[in-house]
Amino acid sequence: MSGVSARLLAVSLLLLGVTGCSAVQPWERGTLAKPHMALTPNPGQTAMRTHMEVSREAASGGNGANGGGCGCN
Amino acid sequence: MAVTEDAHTGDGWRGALSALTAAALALPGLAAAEGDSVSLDYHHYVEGERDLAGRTYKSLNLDPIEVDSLALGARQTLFDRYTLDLHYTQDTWAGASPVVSLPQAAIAEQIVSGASAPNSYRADARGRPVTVDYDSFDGARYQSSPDPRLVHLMASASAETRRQVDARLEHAWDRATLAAGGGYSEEPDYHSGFTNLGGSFDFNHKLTTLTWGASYTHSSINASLDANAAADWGAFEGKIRQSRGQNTLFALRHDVGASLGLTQVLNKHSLIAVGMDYTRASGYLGNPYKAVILAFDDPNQVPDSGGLRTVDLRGVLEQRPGTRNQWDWSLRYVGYVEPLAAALHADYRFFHDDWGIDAHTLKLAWHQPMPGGWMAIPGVRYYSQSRAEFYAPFFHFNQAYPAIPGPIFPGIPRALDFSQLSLKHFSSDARLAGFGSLTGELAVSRELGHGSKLELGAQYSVRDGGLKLGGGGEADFADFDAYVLYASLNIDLAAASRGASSIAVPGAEAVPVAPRRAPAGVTLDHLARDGGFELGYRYDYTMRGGGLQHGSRTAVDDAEVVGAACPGTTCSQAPRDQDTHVSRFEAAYGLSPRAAMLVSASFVNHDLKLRDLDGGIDASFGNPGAPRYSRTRDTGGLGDTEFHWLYEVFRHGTQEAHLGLGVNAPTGSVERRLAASRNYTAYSSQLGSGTWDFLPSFTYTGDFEALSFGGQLRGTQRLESANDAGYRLGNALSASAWGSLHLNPWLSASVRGLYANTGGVSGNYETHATPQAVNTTLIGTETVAVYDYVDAPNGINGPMDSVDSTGSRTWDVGVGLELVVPRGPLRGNHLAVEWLQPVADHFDGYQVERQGRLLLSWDLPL
Repeated sequence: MSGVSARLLAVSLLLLGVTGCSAVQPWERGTLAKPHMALTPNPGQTAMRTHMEVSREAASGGNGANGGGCGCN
Repeated sequence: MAVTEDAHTGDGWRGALSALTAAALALPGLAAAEGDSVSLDYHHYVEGERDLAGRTYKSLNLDPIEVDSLALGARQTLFDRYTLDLHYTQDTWAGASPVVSLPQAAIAEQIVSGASAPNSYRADARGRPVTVDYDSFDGARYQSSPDPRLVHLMASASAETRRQVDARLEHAWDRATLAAGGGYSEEPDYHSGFTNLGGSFDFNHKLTTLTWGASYTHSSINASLDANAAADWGAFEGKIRQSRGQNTLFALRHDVGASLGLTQVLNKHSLIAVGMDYTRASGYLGNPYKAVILAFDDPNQVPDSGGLRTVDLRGVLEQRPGTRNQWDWSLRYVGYVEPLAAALHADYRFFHDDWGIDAHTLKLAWHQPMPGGWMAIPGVRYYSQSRAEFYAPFFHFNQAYPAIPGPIFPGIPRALDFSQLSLKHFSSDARLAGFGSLTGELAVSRELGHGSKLELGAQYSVRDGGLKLGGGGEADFADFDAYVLYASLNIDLAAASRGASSIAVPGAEAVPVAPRRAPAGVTLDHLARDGGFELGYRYDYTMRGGGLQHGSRTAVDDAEVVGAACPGTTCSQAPRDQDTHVSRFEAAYGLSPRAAMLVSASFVNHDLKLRDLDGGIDASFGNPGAPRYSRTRDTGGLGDTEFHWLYEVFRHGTQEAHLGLGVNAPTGSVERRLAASRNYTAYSSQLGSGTWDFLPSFTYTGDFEALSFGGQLRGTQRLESANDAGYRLGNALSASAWGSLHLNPWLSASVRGLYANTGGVSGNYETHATPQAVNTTLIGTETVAVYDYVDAPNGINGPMDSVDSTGSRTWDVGVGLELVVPRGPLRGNHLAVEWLQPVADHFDGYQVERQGRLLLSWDLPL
């Protein structure tokens, strides 16, 4: 792992730490459960879009093993 | 997910309570993945034309890249804590993409020399490429000027369809999940199988979720190098073998990946997720359709009288390193903006690999609920990457052409001695260049009721070397823009089946008494309930292959086809396999107790594989005006759209008859062409009729005790004399009669007879500008043909290109099963499957035999 990446990871973790996490009780999580608050609100669309991006750009990581074929054109 | 939607629409305290329960149970940030559901996604991607130094795509017989994608997904709870995810995806690619990039000066030199490929350019004393004005000879020298422009050489590949199926099974405990999955992706030149394992663990009162994953992908490549025929094979010499008469690269690739993520609820209104991902790829990591230009500027060369030198060029298959380690870090934030009830999504990703590429992606999206159940979703994405260490638009060497010693044949490039090159890896694939890209997007979504949601969106993006972070991106020859249109439908099955339960009879122990249905292949068999919505999906797979048939006679000799099936010429090819896949998506609405309407959109794929006829002559040899001699002619994309109005004309007891008046709207393309040619593909491979058509129908159905029966007449009358491509499909008539036996309250078995009479195509493809030899000229001592564009009829390679081989009369017998789901989340849904077996066929002209037809249908009353 390069220096740049290690630094980035440290910053991410630090950010998590300093933001602080107030105790959110189960009955206070209604907003978080709204469909448009999901991390990926439309997974099908996201998958298709990712496939196109992977076949047009070099940064193809971060998607796990999802097949995807050549995208060579 | 159903319960959370109740809360979203404010359905009283019960909904709110369910939402809270669901929220407490849900993993943070994963609400959208909860619950049994089916989804349908359509995605249409079109690239703009690249700058080809002033030449248009049309003049070069090129079309920009176009991709049509379709995905179907289903999520189903199997037992209490097991969930199965199934996906099917297909995408069809067509159009031209860059093969190499090189100085424009080399193209100018090629045009002057008449060479079949650029093989040199002229350079001034400083090594800069120059364009020479050969009309400016002043007795001593020609005028020349530096020309720094770069340009792509493009090639059209045959349209190809990739298909992927994957599945994932997940087990959930109270605080953890474990999932295993796998799948397979197939396209003609690339096959990959993959498997993955992953899980999650909740702690800190479910405010924190840790996720992990591991994956493995195995890919095998067998790519035809026909489009790259002029390139030196370099290091791949040993991996190239003959396959189906073409030089083909065989190679393997492995990808191993691992990921780790953490999702944290920050407060009542926001959450954050960090992720790390590592992937190691090894094996053949190149793109078989990309080559590079190596330029050799011999320092010992004596310049000409104008001080110019000749730089020799050679195309070589690109060579990338055999391993690639990739790291990816992501930081994602979702925040609720209380006064507007909106959600802000902000994602940042950083990518780094050991090829020298660093990439940044920043994405912002705003989800704004609107009155009436609508949601507006504007967004923006910025992406920037640095170039790979071994990328250059072309590679310049200050050395003489390093040829392997041996005999020299005029017109044939000498083989390169790679040991004399200072570079081992080189690629000019613009995806490895430095560039930036900016995307703007807007989507709208709406809840349709009963848990279904439709989203429509558009994206426009600009890829530009000048947008690279920190500057230094690739020159503007590699820039292009692209747009995407998409539609996405999600149906929450739990909510949908609550809607369907109104047809259940009390005391029938959860078995709904549903209207009886016809076999899977019969559409328009019933009217939707008054005021009720129905959604339907139909899949129709027609298989043809095995040999050619003329009239009713099978086992036709190739020699007969060569001589008789191609009007005005001889045939060189014939269909070997011809499969058609049609996915239809229907929405029906009951207008009154006696009238209903139905809209049906389709997505079509024609997979046409050709074979060479014994005794046929390859007419494309040395003749750019002839259709390109390819053995694959796949097409795919949006098909036609039908609108039907159904009126009940008779009802007595369980007997019913209705009349249908329908219109076909020509939304499917009829202008699909062959790769690298203005010639159209086979008539039967176009995606629609291209004309507005009248579609009348008459249907009768009845029940008698455990027996259902029915009959249907359908017609197609073309309302226009020709479509945009110049021809008109034949009119058609079909008649079908069926009977089905109810084995129990929810399952029946059916038998059907089907007769179809389809008229032949009238007219022909319009003439189009085609390069033809119009003259000859003398270059040096060689006589060379001079080509010009001439309006000529569409080229004919085989019976599939001739209107004389269209039209048929066919008889089929079908067997099928129809099922009404009695319980569970799919309760009230109709599922049916039918196999149609050809019994007797009479074909006009020469057509490939029919082998059978598989039909699936799924109907969901809302």
